[in-house]
Amino acid sequence: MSQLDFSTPFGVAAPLGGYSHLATVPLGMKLLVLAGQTGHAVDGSLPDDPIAQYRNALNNVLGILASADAGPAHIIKINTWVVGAVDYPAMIAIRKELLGDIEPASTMAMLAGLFTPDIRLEIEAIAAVPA
Amino acid sequence: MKLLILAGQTGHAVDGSLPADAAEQFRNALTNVVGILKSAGAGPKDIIKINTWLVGQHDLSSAGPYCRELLGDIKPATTMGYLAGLYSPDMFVEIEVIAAVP
Repeated sequence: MSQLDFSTPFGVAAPLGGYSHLATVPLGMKLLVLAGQTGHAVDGSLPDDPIAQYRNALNNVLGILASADAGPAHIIKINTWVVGAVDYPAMIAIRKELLGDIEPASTMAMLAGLFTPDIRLEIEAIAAVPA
Repeated sequence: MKLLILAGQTGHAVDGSLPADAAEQFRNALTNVVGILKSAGAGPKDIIKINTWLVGQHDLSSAGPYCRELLGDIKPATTMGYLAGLYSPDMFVEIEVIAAVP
């Protein structure tokens, strides 16, 4: 196998949403390990609305991937950390809009807090591209 | 080496049910991890990183014997922390694993 593979085997509990249980990265690919992305806009401003923060954070992820000639299809792992209640259906819709129908290995959890109290979420992404 | 990046595994059983007991969720999550590794021809000894996230204080000691037997004597890089919550309030455990195989 020489390319990225996403799979979800039978015999384990099914994914709770649109993601794969396993991303397999073959020998020789280049890993892009992104810093956790917050919902700040390019000008450094942070919207109050967590959904707007989510859109910004995903756009930040996409911008960083694009700088390395990568795109959503190269994402192998995406972790979404949220603080407080958020509108999950709205987030899912934005993710589909910005990332398309990808199904990387995913984790999603609620944290007690992030770097400052107005930061409501952080997205970590790892991608793999041909070396 | 080939990297196996797993999605965070929750305490659901194969039939999709979620036990109320946190220790049982822990056992299920680890069982799911091992099942996924096996599907890729890997096993516990190939785990290089394991993150265990818990919600709330629970007595997980009853899961100890099963987990030690399932994983064997491995010592991967490990992180453990307590979260404010997971995707739904009845979930107490999520385990993230990265493995590497030839």
